[in-house]
Amino acid sequence: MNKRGSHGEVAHVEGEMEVEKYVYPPGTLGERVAEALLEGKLLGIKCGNDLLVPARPYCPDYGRGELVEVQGPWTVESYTIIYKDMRGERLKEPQVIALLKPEGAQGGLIHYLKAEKVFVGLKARPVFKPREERRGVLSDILYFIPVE
Amino acid sequence: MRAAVLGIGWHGFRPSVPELSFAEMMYEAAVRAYEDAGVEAREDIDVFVSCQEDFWEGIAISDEFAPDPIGGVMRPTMTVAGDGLQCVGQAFMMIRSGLAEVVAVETHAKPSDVKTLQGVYELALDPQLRTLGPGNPLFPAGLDAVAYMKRSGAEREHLALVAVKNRNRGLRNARAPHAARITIEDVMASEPVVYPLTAYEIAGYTDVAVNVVIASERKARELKGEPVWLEGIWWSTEVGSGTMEWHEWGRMPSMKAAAREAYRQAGISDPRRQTDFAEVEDRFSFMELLSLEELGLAPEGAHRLLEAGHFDAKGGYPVNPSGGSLSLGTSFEATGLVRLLEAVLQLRGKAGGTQVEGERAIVASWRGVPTYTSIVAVLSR
Amino acid sequence: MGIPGRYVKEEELKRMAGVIEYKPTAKYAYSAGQALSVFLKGLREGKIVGRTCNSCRRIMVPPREFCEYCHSPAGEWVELPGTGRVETASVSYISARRAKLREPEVVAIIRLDAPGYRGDEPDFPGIFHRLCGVTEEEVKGGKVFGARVRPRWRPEGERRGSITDIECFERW
Repeated sequence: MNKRGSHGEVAHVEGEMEVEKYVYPPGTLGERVAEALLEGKLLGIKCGNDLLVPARPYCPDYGRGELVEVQGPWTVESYTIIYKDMRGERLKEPQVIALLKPEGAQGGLIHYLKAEKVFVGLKARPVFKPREERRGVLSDILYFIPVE
Repeated sequence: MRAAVLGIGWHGFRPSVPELSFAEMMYEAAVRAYEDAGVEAREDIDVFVSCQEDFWEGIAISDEFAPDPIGGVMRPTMTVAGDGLQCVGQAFMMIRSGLAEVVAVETHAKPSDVKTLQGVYELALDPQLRTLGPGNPLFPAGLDAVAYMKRSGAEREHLALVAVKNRNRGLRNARAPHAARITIEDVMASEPVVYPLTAYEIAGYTDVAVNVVIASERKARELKGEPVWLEGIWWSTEVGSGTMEWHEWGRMPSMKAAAREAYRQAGISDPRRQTDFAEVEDRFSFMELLSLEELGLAPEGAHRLLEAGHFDAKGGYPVNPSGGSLSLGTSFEATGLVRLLEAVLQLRGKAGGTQVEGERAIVASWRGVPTYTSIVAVLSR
Repeated sequence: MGIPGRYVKEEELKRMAGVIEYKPTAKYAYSAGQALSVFLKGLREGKIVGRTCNSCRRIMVPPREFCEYCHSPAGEWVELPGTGRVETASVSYISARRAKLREPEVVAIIRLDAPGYRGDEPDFPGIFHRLCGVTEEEVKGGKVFGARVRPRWRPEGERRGSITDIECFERW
């Protein structure tokens, strides 16, 4: 059938998915990971002979794993640089985001990287926020920097 | 019982369709698909399946909005939170098991209605990653692209070449609003959005509704339509977006797994020889090359065949003769059905300016960032 | 073996390490489309318009481009007088945004008067709206059911093409 199309003839209605906020609790295992973060420690999960990062309350094969502290150095497995947002607006500062893998582990952490020269294979370490500003979440780490 | 795509209809294919509500677009696509298949909406269709996601719709429990526009009121209607091809997978099972003779599959997308696309994408990330406040939630595509380049030896120019091939090809396709006459130089001179990907190499958004009628062989023969056989369809999710860090960067194991099973269903052991062309994932340029490798349509280092023109419409194995998502745009959960539509029209010989020769085709789609879900279908004339 | 985990009070949750609070940003501009655009324009002009199905002849309010029962395109537009009867009503003690209301609000389904309708059809053109001048007790006692009502329109200059251009339905 004939359709209307002139300006002003078709309306739209403004709205939103109104959510006050979501509160995600860390869970029993997540709480231990969070408390370690407060201490400036990063945990992974030992599944048989494999060490997986970040820690999850399960192993990929559904078994239960053991929480263990992860030691550096961390190696840049891949990286990207965000220059623009989804609208195409340039960010004030480009953000370097890397997937950093600790020695002998699978997976790793996705985080900001501050380095003069960014490349796959770069060794890095985390820089934490001051103790009193930490909340037990990923952003307790400010960014990773190259290891001298 | 074999399953066939018996009818297909669409409406939209513009960056914005302001004159129609999403429900009206669904209706327009449905009427056209049912006309194409020669079925009566309220009499011949046994089950209706709709693929959608609440936050793309901006409606909670949007499932309840699915039946009305497609003829599903007071009839069995189900929704799947996934790509449209996953809904085709549901239809495939219903037909093959004898549960239904005719199934209508619907997906629609109105990205133009979403004012805060970036906010919705961010909401799809693991809450831990959201605490970082990344400037563009499409960054996982950048991580995969860099890892892919490192592994395969592909250079940025090769990624750019995918965009050039597909965006230019789309100029022949009336449904492709994001097609453009571009050169490698244009792409290389452009500042990346998410390194190494420039705006040319990231698909735009398109409002569209697509409806597909899947029927049993018996029904397809009875209705004397133009059946395109659905020989196999499979999908797979790897670690998913819940633990993105465990993803195998620079690879797509979910697509490899989906392809393996879809080929097994279709009796394919050598996809390069046993199929004629493919519509594959390309919402980010590098994904076309990566998909071709995971689908077994190219050895590792697919860029060398790309460079040689092997995947051009006139090459040895046409890939994305429609212009791909880079020309057609992405349409949330409708993206896979858009690619199916293009393959069905090709196999019917009705693809117009984008027509290539072929009897058998592969359609491979991904649910997009930040998911690790892929779907592969095998179709034949 | 017990269930892993423990009970956490809301207060404790606020202090617990690792809790992530997140407010999503999800805003939309829903396209009203062909049929609703006409309906909304009608409201601005102080009219309630419906649409007839070419197949089953029912009148749809709010109007649609298609009849979902017949899956066929809608036909003629009809302007309704706006008057009707209360089909069912309820009392709401919270606002649409879940805040406690000072005064409870009576909401109702209004069966609109329409040509060709007797008033007892299971499917009818109708509107979901507020009732004014009706008490909580009248709803609880069922007295308001079947009451004749009409729209109380906002003054012309204040109408903006929205369902709230009708302030409420009132008895007459």
